[in-house]
Amino acid sequence: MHRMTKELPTAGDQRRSQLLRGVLDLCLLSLIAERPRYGYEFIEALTESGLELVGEGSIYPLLARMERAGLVEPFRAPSPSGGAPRKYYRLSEAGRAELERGRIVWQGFTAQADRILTRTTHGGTTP
Amino acid sequence: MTNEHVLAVCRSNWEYRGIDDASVREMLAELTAHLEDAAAAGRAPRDVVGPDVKAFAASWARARMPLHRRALRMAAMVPFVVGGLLLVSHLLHWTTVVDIDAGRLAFWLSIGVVTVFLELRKGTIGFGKGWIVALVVGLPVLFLTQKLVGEETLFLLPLWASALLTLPGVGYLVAERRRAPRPAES
Repeated sequence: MHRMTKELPTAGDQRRSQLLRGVLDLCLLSLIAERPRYGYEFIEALTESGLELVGEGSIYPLLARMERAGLVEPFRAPSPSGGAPRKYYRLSEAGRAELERGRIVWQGFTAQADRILTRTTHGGTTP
Repeated sequence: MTNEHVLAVCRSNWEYRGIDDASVREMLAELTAHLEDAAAAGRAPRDVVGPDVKAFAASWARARMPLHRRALRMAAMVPFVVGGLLLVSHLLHWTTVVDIDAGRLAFWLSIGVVTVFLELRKGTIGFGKGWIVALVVGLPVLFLTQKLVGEETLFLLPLWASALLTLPGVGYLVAERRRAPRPAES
């Protein structure tokens, strides 16, 4: 079960939050690549994956920038839960290409960072 | 911090920053739905917008319409409004040319400059305040210029030129409408 109430952030939470912010655009693009989503659905999907944003509304400026850049295309559709139609986002061709490029960069980066971090996992290296 | 408070602060901030009415409505609808969903999941408005509502609103506004886009909008909309009023002038006098004297030119220029300055600094001034700008700035400039320079006709503005002035604004409005989210295709 995921934590749904906010507690005081620890140093670890802050680092996770910073890391997430650096890769949030790719996470959103990847979530839309699965299927079109509206704002709150991104938060649900991130939370289900164990990633919680401090100030979940910060996805909206990011979505607005991605919309301006032509990476996502908005459209209106009824919400499955009823009520007023929601603004959904779907991936454009440019967004799909950006996601692929971003994935390669992220995987390369995490592999390199991982190599450095695991080098000193068990007591460190000798000079 | 309540949902209503968050929405009121955001609306005021976005209007202050010159976000157009359709975009403000769309952003408010999106935020309202999110706040309601978050409340149903037991989360507070503060969890959605963070501790500083104004900073959240400003960040969204900058992402939605950066300064260069607001300036572009102004550059298209000011001639549109001037062209529209000139077309009304053509219609009222039932003529294909309008006399332009120095006073009239100064009147429009002063209103245009003050409107652009106010809208870039303070956001959309709206119809009512637009009239106040015309009365407080435009009319004194008109009378002063006519007193100093006289009322001789500088040039005649043909109907096609007035129509031409509206074109950038028409193009901008069409492009803005196309950018608006469409209903889902079935």
